[in-house]
Amino acid sequence: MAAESMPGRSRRFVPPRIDGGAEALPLASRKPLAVVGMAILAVYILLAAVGPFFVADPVATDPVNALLPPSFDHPMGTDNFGRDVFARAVHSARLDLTLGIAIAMCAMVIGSAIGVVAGYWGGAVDETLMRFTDIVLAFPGFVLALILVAVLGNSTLNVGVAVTAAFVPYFIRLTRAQALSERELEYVDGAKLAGNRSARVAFIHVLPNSLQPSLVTATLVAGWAILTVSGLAFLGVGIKPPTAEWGVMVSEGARDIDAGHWWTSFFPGGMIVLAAMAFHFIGDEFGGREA
Amino acid sequence: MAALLIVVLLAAACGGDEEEPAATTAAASPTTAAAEEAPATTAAEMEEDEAPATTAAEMEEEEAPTTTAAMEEVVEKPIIVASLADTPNLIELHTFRTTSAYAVTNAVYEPLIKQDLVEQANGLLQGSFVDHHGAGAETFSIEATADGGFLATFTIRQGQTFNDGTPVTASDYKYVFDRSIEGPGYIGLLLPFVGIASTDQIRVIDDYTLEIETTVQSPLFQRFLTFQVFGAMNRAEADANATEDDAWAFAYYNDKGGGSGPYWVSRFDPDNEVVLEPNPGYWDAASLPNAGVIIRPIPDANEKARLIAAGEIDVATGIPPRLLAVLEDDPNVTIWASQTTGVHYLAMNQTIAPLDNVHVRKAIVNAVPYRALIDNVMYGFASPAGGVVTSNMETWDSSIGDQFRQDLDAARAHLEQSGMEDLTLLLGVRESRLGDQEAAVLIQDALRQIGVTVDVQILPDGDFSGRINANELPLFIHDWFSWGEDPFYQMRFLTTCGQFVNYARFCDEAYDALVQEGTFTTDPAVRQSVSSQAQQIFFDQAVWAPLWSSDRTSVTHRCVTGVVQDYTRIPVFTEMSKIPGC
Amino acid sequence: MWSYLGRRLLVSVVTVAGIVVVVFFIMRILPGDAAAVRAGPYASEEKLEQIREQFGLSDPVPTQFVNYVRDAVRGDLGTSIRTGGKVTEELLIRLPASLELAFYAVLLAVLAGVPVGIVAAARRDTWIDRAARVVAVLGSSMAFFWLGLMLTFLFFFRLGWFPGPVGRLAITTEPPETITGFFTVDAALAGNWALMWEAFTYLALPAVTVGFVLSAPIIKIVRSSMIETLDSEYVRTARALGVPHREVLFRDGFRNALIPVTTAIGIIFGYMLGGNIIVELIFAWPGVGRYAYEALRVNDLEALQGFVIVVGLLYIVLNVVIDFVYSWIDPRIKLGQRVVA
Repeated sequence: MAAESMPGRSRRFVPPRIDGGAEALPLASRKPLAVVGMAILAVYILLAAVGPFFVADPVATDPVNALLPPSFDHPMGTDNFGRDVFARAVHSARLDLTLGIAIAMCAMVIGSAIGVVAGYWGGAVDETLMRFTDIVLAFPGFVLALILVAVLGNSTLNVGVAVTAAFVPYFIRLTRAQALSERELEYVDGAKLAGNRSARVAFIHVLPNSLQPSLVTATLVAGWAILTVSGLAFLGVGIKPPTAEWGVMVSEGARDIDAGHWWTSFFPGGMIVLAAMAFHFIGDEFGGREA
Repeated sequence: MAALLIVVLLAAACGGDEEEPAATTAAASPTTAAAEEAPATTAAEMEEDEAPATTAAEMEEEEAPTTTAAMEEVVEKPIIVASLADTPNLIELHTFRTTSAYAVTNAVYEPLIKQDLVEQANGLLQGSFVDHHGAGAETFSIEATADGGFLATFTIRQGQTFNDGTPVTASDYKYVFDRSIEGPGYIGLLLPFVGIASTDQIRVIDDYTLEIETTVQSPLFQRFLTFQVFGAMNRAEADANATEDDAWAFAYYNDKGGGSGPYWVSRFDPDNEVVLEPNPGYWDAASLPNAGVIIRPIPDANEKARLIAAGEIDVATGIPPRLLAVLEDDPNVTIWASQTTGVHYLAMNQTIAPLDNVHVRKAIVNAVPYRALIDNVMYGFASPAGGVVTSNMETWDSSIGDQFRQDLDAARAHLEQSGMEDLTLLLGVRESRLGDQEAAVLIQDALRQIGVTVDVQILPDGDFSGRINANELPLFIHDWFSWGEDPFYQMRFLTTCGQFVNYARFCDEAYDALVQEGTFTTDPAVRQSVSSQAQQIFFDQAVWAPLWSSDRTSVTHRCVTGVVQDYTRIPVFTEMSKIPGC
Repeated sequence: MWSYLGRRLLVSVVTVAGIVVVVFFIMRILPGDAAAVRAGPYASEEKLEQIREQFGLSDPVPTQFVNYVRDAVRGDLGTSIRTGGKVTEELLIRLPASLELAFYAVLLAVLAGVPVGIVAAARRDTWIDRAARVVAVLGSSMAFFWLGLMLTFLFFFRLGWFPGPVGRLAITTEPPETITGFFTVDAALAGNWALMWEAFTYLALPAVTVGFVLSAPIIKIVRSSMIETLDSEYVRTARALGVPHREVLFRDGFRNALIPVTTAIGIIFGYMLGGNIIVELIFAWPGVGRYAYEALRVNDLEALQGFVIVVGLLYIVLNVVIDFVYSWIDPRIKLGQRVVA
């Protein structure tokens, strides 16, 4: 990307439009599900941001008070070591939300860049990139992420990298398709006639206009990324106990369930699903379609 | 070094902990064995062992009535359904295997001699450490040679056959030793320890006479011969299936049993079931109290426990302590637990700062919640370890060992003395060890309370071994089980200078001298005093936090009888039966 | 048509070759030594060398690659260093378990998702529609492992309506003789109805777990394509001409919605071919997903490679099949005209 292209960026950037019309109606009645999603997300972000300062230490054990059912003191009960499940779930919110959003953003940025390159230049570049994307998409993202974590080694950062890599192809395809159609539009021709170099045209003109569907997809991907990260953690891949992480907590809690101690896995798992739902409500209302 | 190998190997062979699958205890890429270290044995044991020229005659007399009784009941012999700690994925005799694969080969191959079994008050059959009887060999004698070794002569039982009907001869036994020494398996590494290095030392005198000559007089020689890995192999069959690349037919035996033992493998589908049917050619086939064994892997421990209670499975191993605690209340289930001298310990690598500071180590030793570990991680299926010489081991000194208890004030005082603040330490545990992972949680919190941050990392077993060998883990939880059960062996391997499995890298000359003295002393009083002094140094230097000694456990339905627990941790089926009409 | 098939085949071959190359080289950078796993922790360096020799791990990587491709073309995906068995055989033994679960899960998803999608479209913007969309979002946000666990807790531990998570049949039940590899079908073919019923009870919880998640995209696609069709000129005309509402909905609307639905089913089924590692683990389902997971844990390269290649192959075959199904559903579409979404 040429350095001189940057100043033009803000001028040409068209923020994704929320809806075609009916501006007069409040968002709540036009898109009620999105509002629900945003409300849930706001609570989560609040929990993640300030929650850890108010709850107990997530590593504090208390073997005497192990496996207590939910109560006023322990809203989500205590686990096998007497750790407060709510405290751990709150600490985990910070980790999981950060990962989910970061993964979606990184995948979007990388995928869109590649997609624009493929869609705009076409030809052999396009063919090569798309073949590669096909190959990557020929096996499920979860399996891909699993293998990548195995290759990279277990760490939170590596999980982020692996899951990002698994979602990048979706953005490549999406942006490429957008770029292909944008390319045909007049303004691109106009820009070319005005003597702009093709790299500049691609990134300044095509990319911002391909961004709207990408943002919608990114919202959905943030939800899936949380599911993938916690799924990997459930399998003991990537993030591991005793880290307070929802998937880890479900995996630990799964051992208590036969004796009827359902709360150690029910609550953290519910937190995962609710977080993913929040993102999906938003993405669903604004985009409607998914990859 | 060689001695170490055996102990390490046995710890592995015996499957490490009952609580989890995947048997890996210590890591090693053993270099060539230093044979001169091998005969580090106590003279006392040797003298006892020199005498016996045991015959099996008396034993046969004893068994005669049982045989007739068994004949009458032949129709009613039950089939035993077992579910073990892991999957018997391959059953080649000389390849490193899973615990349940060892159980299969143990049932299929017949060694020359076996341990006597002693019935305990609760019906448990405990393997004897001292007494052995003839198995594949009808009689045997062991004599001292002029060169300081043993000459053992075995009369191979006539009339016993492999499952295909081929009679067992001395050359089938020679074959298994030759294969151990020259083949690609790992077993050959063990033999130098008892003074066997060359195939020339195993001699076939005639079809039914085998001679083994050793170069040292190891008291472990007899016990060695009881190992399943030295059970007769059908030489004719092996030769017929050997290939140019695979002269010892390893590939052929991956999914087959080629022995003359009580059972043969009639079906091998390890993910679903492995079926052991009685071998009619087994010398003691008539007294086998069951009509075969079906081994079914059940990965889910809850389900395993449920099936045991329902009587759909007769015996199970690999049930974690937390479920054992639940099963204890079930009247349909019997839990067989016996204390061991094994040890789980929190090691502190002394080459890594700040663990080179004895006060930091003492602070950690004082912070560990020993009682909570036994109660909340082991659910009572363990005893306090109390040192490198564990509480169930000869010469353990309770006045020292009992001092391993949690005292957070003392811990804080030590930490203050050390002058260290804001410590953050990495604690590594193995992926396959759930119990260790749970212990890490409690240890993490205990250390948090004295102001030490612990970063727990669960590592793949291979990675874990690599990193402790490379001195990359300051804190880690490890375990050890030595069937030698000798305090001085235990101390020597785990805590003397330069030993490969001395992962804490503790090195103290005075301590080494005490261990050396104890190893070669026969006088019990001296042994006790030397051991106590060494234990005191171990405590003062805060070498480890010794966490617990886990029990050896197996679970059966209440109607099952004949549970054997010997010095290995391998399930044995040959005595197992069910109470009729139960 | 044949030229299309040829082209299609060529693209598939290129993709499969790509998969083989990518997977092969990714696997080579996996940390850890498979030989050490095989040999056990106490093996000497020589033993390790012997094992590497035996499994061809000591050859230079390009040589390994050539050998691997040569064998793979013959259908030999190598030997599992974990079990010592042939990877091709081991995968084929496990594949029916994964396929049976995938089949019933997709079936459930379609049976539940299609009607919900149609009703939501027909009652657009009512509370029914909203509820359907919430269900769809819930499905696409569902964590397999949590749902599976909770269903097991409720229906096995608490209510006892369904069997525990132990695989395809009770541990003590003899499986039916293998004909198709689907226990439900094989039991029926053998006339063993009790066994068939048992197989269904064991399938129920994992199939519902997966089916619920898979129903989400089906609801969404059916709903949106139905809406599109119902808004079309053609349907409006039909309505104006007095064709009954229900008939329009089912005859015209649904029929036109079938194409995107088929695509969705194809994609979903393709996704499920690889087995669902998490679901197979929690329900102890003896499929290829669990096999791959166990292989991954011990760096069993050939087994993992084999898994990925087989999954990729199946996926591509499935795509070709879907192309044919298309032309069957809608004769107006000629082969090759489908634009891959």
